[in-house]
Amino acid sequence: MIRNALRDRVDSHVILLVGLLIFEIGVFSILEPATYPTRANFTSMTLQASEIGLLALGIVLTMIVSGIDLSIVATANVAGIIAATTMTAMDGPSSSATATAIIVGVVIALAWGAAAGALNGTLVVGARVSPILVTLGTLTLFTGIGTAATEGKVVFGIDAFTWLGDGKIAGLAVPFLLLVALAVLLSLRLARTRFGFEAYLVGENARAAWFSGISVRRRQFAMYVASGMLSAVAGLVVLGRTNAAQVDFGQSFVLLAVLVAVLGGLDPYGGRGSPLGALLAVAVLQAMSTGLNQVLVAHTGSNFFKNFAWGILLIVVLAISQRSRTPRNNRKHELRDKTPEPDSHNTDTSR
Amino acid sequence: MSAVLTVAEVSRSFGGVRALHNVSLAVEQGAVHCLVGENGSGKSTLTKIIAGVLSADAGTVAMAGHEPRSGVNPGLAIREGISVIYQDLALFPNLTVAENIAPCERTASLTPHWRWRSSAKRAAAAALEELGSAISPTTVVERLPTAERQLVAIARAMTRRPRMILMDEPTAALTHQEIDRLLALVRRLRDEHSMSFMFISHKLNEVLELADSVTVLRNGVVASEGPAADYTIERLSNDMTGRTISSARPTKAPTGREPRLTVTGLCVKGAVEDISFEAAEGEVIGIGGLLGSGRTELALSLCGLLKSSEGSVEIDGVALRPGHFQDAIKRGIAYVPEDRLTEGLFLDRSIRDNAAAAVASEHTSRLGALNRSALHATAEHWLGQLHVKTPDYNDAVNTLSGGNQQRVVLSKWLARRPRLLILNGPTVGVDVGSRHDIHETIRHLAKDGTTVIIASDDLPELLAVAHRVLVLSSGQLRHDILTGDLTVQALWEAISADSALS
Ligand SMILES: Nc1ncnc2c1ncn2[C@@H]1O[C@H](COP(=O)(O)OP(=O)(O)OP(=O)(O)O)[C@@H](O)[C@H]1O
Ligand SMILES: [Mg+2]
Repeated sequence: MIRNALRDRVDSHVILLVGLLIFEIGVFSILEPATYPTRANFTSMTLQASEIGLLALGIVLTMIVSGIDLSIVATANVAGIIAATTMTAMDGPSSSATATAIIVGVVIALAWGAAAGALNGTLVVGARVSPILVTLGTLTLFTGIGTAATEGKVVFGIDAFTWLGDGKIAGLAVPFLLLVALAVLLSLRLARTRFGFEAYLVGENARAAWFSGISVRRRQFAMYVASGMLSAVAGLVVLGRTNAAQVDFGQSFVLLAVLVAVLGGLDPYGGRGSPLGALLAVAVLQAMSTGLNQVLVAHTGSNFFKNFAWGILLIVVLAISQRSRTPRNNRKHELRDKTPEPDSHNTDTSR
Repeated sequence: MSAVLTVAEVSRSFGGVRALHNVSLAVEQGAVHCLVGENGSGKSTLTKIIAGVLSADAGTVAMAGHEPRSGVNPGLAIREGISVIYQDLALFPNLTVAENIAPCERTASLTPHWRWRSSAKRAAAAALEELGSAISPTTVVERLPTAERQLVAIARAMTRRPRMILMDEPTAALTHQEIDRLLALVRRLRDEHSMSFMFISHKLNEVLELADSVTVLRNGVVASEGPAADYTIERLSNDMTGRTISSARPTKAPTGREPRLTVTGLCVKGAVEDISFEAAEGEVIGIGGLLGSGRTELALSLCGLLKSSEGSVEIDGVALRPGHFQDAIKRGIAYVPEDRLTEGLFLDRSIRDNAAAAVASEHTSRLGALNRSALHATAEHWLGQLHVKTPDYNDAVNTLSGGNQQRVVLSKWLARRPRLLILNGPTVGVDVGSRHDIHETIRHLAKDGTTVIIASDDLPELLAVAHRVLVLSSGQLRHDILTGDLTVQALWEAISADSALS
């Protein structure tokens, strides 16, 4: 009874991730006592994890409504390019000019993210094209826009903006604080609002949600817009950290962000998972990646095992969590493939 | 005669829920054994244990000439000659009718695919023909309405010509003629091929018509058993529920009330022609008619799920936007769909969330914050009103028995306190006791002023709740009958007579 009650409150998947994180930190601290459990190392880990974490949040949101956004990195890079260009153009000798440049740059970059997300949302929801195809398409489109604007070259930002990348508040990296704040905020929004409650239902069974009077399309659309804006934030963080923006930065981050989301307990079929889960998953991956790096570099001088180890970790976690999930009926997946087509319902029912 | 299937002292629990306890029964060779019981009494669980898709905690199942077994092994059960029509059908929605009906032969032989396809098509057409159905074998299953999917599942089980067929509520979604044909086919297979059947149904009259012997389950234990001749409908429902179920009639029709729903000259292309009627506040109107009479289409166009081509639907004097379901919902219309699995339920989510799905907006602050405890309270209130049987509202809704799932769908809509409630087959797959309760709920709602439209195939149901029945045929309104002292027979004649003319 008590175990049941506990299980109901805390997702077993979260327990698994927390356990893994503690285990990793313990093992690597024993193996590399001089370099791993240090303040400097933790700061550097949180910093590295932030960008991928922000991108993963976008994937999380779209996956909750059983979609996906593969254009995140392209959106982020274009956002960085736009911000860098605007800031450089508007920057002046006075500090007020710099402040204006930064504010305008950030606002334009976020607006770009929202617009990119709105395009994805419109195509997925309005034209009912599969989200994978839509966002692969816009990935190419956005990359094209970025390339055309920069001719593929690196654009530099302004020094004042680097605070977003390497500033610290109370000893914690700003990008990390931003990630945690956004993850907590989004989790609260999903858990405590009508929007969140209905979004999960849409992900679970869009057809039944529509029949229940929920505005399915509006929920889905909002998630793509949010994903675009989160990507823009990630782009700004990269700009802050490197003081540069570039169209082909971090291409491999897309798949990594998808993996983080799934590792964090998201179901590609929708209706499950939370931003905090993804946050934990990023932590697990980063703790492992940094630890392996240190161990391997210290002992073999190379770190090619890293990807290999990540792969194993992902498979193990997925196998365990998937297994604990199977009793929850597979019927859903059969049924879900009937995509919600509210308007075509007419043709469905007229015999 | 000898037993072809022997179930010996089978028990099974799910977590803390005891679904079956010491259940024994025997099915004779060449006989139809009917299994009846309330929703959640364990009928489907027993079927699944016999089919080898669930294991028994204790006890065994044995087919004549084979070892007793209790574990999970569906392949073994098929080899022993058992074929099953599951309550949720277990079809492949993305495959065609032919591919669904004949998939087994394919794996068994090395016939090239193209040749298999044409032979599968022929086999499927023949099997469906036997059931008197004209479904095209090349249609993809997910495009079929529920009744036709049910026929596909039945045809699939029949083509294997097994020794024994388990049918879990095969008639729930079927119309009268289809049911008659199915029952005739079952009798023929029993008499000519000495096939055996275990037949589950909540329609007690068809149970008595078909059964050679009966087992009544109540809360997972055998409440009574014996030859069908020993049973009457009263005894069956008594043994099932432990209470006497009286057949009730609607409370008096309201008089002198404002019309809530006004339908004028409503047309839906190819389905409904020029229908006009009014429904007052607190009135219950039944829509009767055969399959293809436009019954379903009329119900759907009232709530905007089908776009009407002409005419208007007015609620309290204000016209609805045709073909606009969300608008209809906002105006206080609730529609309880026919297909609860895909259109009504969020299978993996909790019972409570399912019941709360349509009322989140009512418990939201201006800033969008959801008051979960109030939302839960509302959901639980209606789940309680409809007597949804479960140890915990946190359980996923897919752990409920079929009839209880139906009540969850109803709870979801009743929670909205709709002004106009449109029901499409509201008690499909629901046991006599709950059916009675649901009817009682409908009568109560009407008394409190809700207008109810109920499209149903179930004539006693229409007579039990409706003040008037609109009889449709070929898309036209043929009769508008007051139910007062109407008998089932008279209603049936009104419904079927016109279709013979057209
Ligand atoms: N997978 C499961 N997990 C938990 N409980 C279950 C599961 N399957 C069935 N049950 C429970 O076992 C009991 C018997 O269910 P079952 O589906 O056999 O009922 P039934 O007699 O077929 O009802 P119905 O007429 O509504 O189809 C119910 O209380 C149900 O909630
Ligand atoms: Mg059942």
